[in-house]
Amino acid sequence: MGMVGLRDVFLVAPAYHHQNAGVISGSDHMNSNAAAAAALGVGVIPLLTAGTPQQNVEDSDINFLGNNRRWQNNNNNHETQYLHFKSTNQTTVGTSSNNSGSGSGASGTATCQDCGNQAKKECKQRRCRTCCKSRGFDCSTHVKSTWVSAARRRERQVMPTGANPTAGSSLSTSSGTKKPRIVGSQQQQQQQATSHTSTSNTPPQSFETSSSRQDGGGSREAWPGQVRAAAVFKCVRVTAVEDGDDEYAYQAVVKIGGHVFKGFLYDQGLEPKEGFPSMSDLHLGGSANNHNGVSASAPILDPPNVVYGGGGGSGGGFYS
Amino acid sequence: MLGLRNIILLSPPPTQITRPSLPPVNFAAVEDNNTVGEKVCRDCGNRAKKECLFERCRTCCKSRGYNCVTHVKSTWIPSSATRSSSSPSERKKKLKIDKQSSPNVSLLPTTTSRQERGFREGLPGKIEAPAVFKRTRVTAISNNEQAEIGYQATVTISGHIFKGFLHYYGVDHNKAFPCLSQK
Repeated sequence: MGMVGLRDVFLVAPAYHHQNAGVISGSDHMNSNAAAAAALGVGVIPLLTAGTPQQNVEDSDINFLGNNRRWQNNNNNHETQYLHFKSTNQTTVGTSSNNSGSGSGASGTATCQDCGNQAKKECKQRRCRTCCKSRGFDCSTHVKSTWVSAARRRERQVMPTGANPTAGSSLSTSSGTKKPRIVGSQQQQQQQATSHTSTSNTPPQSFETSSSRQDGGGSREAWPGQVRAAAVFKCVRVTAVEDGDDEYAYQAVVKIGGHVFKGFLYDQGLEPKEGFPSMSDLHLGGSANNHNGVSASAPILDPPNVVYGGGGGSGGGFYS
Repeated sequence: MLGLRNIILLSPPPTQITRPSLPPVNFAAVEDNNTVGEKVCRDCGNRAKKECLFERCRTCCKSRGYNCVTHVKSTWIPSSATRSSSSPSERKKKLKIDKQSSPNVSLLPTTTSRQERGFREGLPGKIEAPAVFKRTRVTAISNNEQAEIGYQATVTISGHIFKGFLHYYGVDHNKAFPCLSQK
């Protein structure tokens, strides 16, 4: 019985995703969604889809409608990118069950290589939105859009649920078993995950490879275990999901062992007194006085680039 | 329609009464069965644990390099593995980040790790500073992929320690960057 419940939970998420993408539409899926929701107490999804045309007056719903439009636009891009992905990577053959039923959709789900969340099939890096952002990939699928966070989505779903007595009774029936509801909530969260990172420089085109795997084990040993060197760090603004305060991080691009490594350095807090040598303090003190932060040697990155510019800047920012 | 609107109008006041102390009033999901006041990750909006001092989920704690006490490395199984229950051997997949990448500096997690406004204004836009790059091994979720080499960078700027992971991007064909390991 529990296994059947888990399977029913599995069936809900891809159908919901397809409905948002506009691929599957029909009363049969609505009935199946309603049946699964009634069985598991997840009666929020049909109410949200049913309530959307009635709440056009509110601003948040307008954003949601805009999100739907954006998804439709992305859907066209996804198809072309999927064809491109198949043409480029023939060794890794992905599952070709995109538009089939919900059962095979669950079996053919692409998972993120970093965190295991559900990733889009059109993403070349095979990662979810969060990991694409954190790794600094310039993924064309996970483009910045009018995305609504999962917390706000849950916030909208709970209002009609709290008012509806039948949904309350279904929640009370499902309160005995916590696992199906947790899995259901996780499925909703996985499809909506992003972090808005606005970097002023996009990586150059020569680094955008669909297969970013490293070479064999021989060349990997040539990389040193630890390197102490001076590098150029570029300040970027990391925006939180909610309207809280922004946070500043630093972006670094270094070359070690003939290969390029890129990533973001986040603020860990104040420096402990016994942690670092005083040489860096003296150097940083000199740099802190100079507001521009231009060092004596020629900088690697071009000076005229906008530091706090929006995403999608020029690709030649890293060339000197 | 009028009934629905009236019902919607009645729901916001109880949440405000429930959370009077929080300055940003978030109308989070309040259910009688769940504990009131669930946290959301500040980076991606997923549900975060209440015990996490950085208010982030596991993925964002890992990507930011926080030494979170709550999100410690464990035998965590991704949800996709539990979703595909057809083969039980797939449940051995784990999110692996090599323990050798732990920094020498032991940073105490602070609840107020946010950057103040005056500190943010004083941050330089571009700086060349000495940093320590430690090689680390990032393993993918599926065991089919080989381990990927990355570097963990630690630098001190304006009295703050910035730390993060530098991921592999490819061979530098155009020789745009000077090689750090040859210095």
